[in-house]
Amino acid sequence: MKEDSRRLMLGNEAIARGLMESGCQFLSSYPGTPSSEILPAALKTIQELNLNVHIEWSTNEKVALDNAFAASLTGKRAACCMKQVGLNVAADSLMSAAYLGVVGGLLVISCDDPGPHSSQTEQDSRLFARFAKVPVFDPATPQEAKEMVAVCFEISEKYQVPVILRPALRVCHAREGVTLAPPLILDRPAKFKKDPSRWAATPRFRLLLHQELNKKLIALAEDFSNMPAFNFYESQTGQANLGIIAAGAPYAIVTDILVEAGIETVPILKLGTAYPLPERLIERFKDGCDHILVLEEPDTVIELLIRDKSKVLGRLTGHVPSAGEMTTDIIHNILSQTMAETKAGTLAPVDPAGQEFVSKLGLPGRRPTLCPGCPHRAAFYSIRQAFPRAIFTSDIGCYTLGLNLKAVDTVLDMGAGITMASGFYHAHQLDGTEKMIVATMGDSTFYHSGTTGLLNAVYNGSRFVLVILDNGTTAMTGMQPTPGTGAMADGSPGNRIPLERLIAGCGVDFIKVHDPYDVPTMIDLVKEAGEYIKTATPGIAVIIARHPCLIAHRRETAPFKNKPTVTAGCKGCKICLELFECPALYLVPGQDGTDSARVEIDRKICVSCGVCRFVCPEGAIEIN
Amino acid sequence: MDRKIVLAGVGGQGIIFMTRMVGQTALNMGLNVMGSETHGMAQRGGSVISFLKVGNYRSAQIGTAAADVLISLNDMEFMRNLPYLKPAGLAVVNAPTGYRLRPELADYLTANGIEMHVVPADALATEHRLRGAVNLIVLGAAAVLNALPVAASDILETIKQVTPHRLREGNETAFSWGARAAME
Repeated sequence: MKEDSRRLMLGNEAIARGLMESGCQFLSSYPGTPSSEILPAALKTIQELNLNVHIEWSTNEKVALDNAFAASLTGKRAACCMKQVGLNVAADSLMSAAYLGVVGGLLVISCDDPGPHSSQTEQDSRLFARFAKVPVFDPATPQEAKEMVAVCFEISEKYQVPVILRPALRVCHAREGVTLAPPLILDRPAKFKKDPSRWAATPRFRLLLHQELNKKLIALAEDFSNMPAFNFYESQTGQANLGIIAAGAPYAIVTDILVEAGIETVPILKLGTAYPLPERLIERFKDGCDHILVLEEPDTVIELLIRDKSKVLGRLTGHVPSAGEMTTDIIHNILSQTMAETKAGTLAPVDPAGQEFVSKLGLPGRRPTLCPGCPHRAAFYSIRQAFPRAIFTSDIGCYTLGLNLKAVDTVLDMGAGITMASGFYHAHQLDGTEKMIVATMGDSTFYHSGTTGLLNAVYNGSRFVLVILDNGTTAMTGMQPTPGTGAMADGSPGNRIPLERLIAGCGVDFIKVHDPYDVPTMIDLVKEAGEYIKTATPGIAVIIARHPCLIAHRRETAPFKNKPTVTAGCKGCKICLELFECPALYLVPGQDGTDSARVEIDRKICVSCGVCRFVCPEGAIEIN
Repeated sequence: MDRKIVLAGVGGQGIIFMTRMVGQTALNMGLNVMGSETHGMAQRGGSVISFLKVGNYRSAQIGTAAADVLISLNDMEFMRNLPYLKPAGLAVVNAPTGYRLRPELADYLTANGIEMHVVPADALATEHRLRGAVNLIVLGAAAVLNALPVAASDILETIKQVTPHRLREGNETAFSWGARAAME
C-alpha cells in the first residue's frame, strides 16, 4: 500500500478519512449540502484500502441515525452524516440516544451552513448538542476535522454518549493538504448485550439515565478544559485589554487577520468544543483580559453558556451580527471596531471603495436556474399551462428553481410539498371554496418524507394533484442513487422499490406515468388529473413525470436530435424567456431601435431536447 | 512564496478543477495549501468563486483588497469580483480578442495599478476543438503570466497525473494553447 503522506483534501474528504483511520465500520447518511461528499469519499477509501465497512444512503436522516445507533450497540464504531436541517429530522433519535448512551463510539456529523448558501435556515447544530445534552466538536480546518474524528470516538466510548462533530460549510468545502495515517482495523465482532432496563427504558428509568447523563457532562467539561489539541491559548505576560474566544472557521480567519496585521497584543482562546463548555479554561483565560470578544457561527452558543458575561462582547451586546456568514471582511470590521472601543490597538477597517465601485457598475445578478434540457422545466411549464392560477406547493431539491418559472409558491421543508397541499385544501374547504392545488416533489424527496404526508392526505380526504418529478437521482446534492433506481451507495444493485407501488400502497387510485418532454399530452394529463380530484374518492391524483436527469444519466439521455431554430416569426414577446427560462434562450436586442428584439439559441449550451418548440405562441421555434 | 488567488466564473466551467490543479501542484512542491469552494445550488448556472491560498495560512477565505491574483473565466464575474484584488494585483480574464473595458473600469484598474491580461479562451477552445477546456486554457495563460506560485511545467505534470486517459491529450493541449496565447 503506497500512501502519499499529505493529500489535498476537501474538509468532507478529511472527515471521511478520519472515520476510516478510527475504525468506523458503519456509515449511514442522507445527502445534503454541505455534507454530501463525506460518504462518497469514505467509499473511495474503503475500496482503495479494501476495508470491511457497511455504508448506506439511508432514506432519511432519522433512519440513518437509528441504524448507526443499533450498530453502536453491537460494539462497533458507527457514524452518520447529514446537513444541519437533517438533524431536525433525526432529532427524535438523537434526543433519546443521548439518554440511553452507546456502546461502540457513535458519531453524528451535522454540517452547518452559515449564509445560508444551500439551506432553509442558519441553525446551529451546537445548540442541538446543548438541547440533547451531548458533547460537540467544532473544527476550524480540514486537518483539525480529521483529528477530531478520532477523539470524538474516544470520548464517545469513554462516556458512552453519542458525540456530534459540527463542521460548518467553510470547513466542509475548504481544501487543505491533509496528513494521512493508516486505517484502524478494530477486531470487534457484533455482540448485542441485552439490557432491557437500559435499551428499552421506561420513563422511571429514563429519569435515572438523565441523572447519569448530567454526571457525564460535568466530567466532560473538565476533560475539555484539559484538551490542548483543540482548546488552547498562548499565555500572555500581563493583562490584555481585549482577548478573543474563537471557534470554527472564524478562529482561522481572525488568526490570519491578526498575524497579517502584526498585532500581538490580542490573545486568542481557540475553542474546539462548545458544549459542555470548558468553564475552567475559559475563566482562566478571562482573568487575563479586561474584555472578551466571542467569535462563533452561525448562532450564539459559547457566549450564551458563559455564566459571568460582565467582560463579554458578542452577539448579545450587538458587537457581532446575528445573521449571515462571518466572512473575512465582517470579522475584520468587528475586530477593528472592538479594538478601538477597548483601546486594544488599531486595525484599519476594510476599505469599501472597491465594493462601492463595483456596485455602481450595475452588474446583473446571476440566479441559479435549471439546466438546459432539464425535464423539471418541461413539467413545470405544463403544470402552469394547465392551471395558471393554482396554488403550487413544492419542496427541496433542484426543482425549488421552479420558482423562476412561476410554478412554485411554497417551500417549507422536506415533504411539505404534499403536507402543505393537504393543509391548503382543508383551509379552503372550511369556507366551501374550491381551490386547485398542484404539489410537486422530487423522487428522492418523496422516498425521504413523502409517504407519511400522502397517507395522511388520503386518510383525511384531501384533494389535490401531486406531480412527482422523477429524474431517477438526488440531483441537487450530487447525483446520489435512490430506492427507485435500486443502486446502493457502493453502486451495487439493491432492491428497487418503484414509486408506483409505493403510491398505490398509500391508497391512491389515480397514478399516471408520463414523459414531461411531451408537453402537449403532459398539459392534458394535468388537466385530467385536476378534473379527477373534484369528484373521485380518494381525491388525490398522482402524475409521475419521469425523465432521467441529464447530468446523472447522460449516456441514456443524450444525444438529442431535436435541434431547435428560431424563425423570422419570433416577435420578441419573451414568453419563452419568462415562463420557460431555458438558459440556452436569450434575447438579441433590436438594431438601432428600428427592429424589435428577438430570441436566439445559444448553441454552446443547447442540448437539442427541442422542448422549447411547444412553448412559442407564434410557432417560431422549429426543429430541424 | 505566499500567494492569494481568487478564481471566478459560472457554474459548470470547471473552476474547482482549476483550483485543484494549482493546489495539488503546490502541495507536491511541499508548500502549504488552503482553498475554499462553492458547491450545491450555486453550481446550477450561478456565480462560482473559489479561493486558493498558498503559504502559511489557517483560513481558506480571502477578504476585500487582499488577493494577489484574480483569474476569471467570464468577464462579468471578473468585474463582480474585482474588489478582492489588491492594489497592483494581477488579473487574468477570459474575454474575446479586442475586448474593450468600460471606461470607468479602465480608470479603476489604472488608479489601483492593476495589470489585466485578456485571454480569448472561448475562441481558442472553438478553434482547436477543445470544448469544455476553457478553464485549462486560462490556467495555461495564468501560469506563464507568473500569476501562480508554481511553474507551468509542474502544473502540466499534475494535469497529466490526474486526468483520465481519454481527456489527457485535450487537457494538455488546452493548457499549452493558453500558455502560447499569453506569451504572444
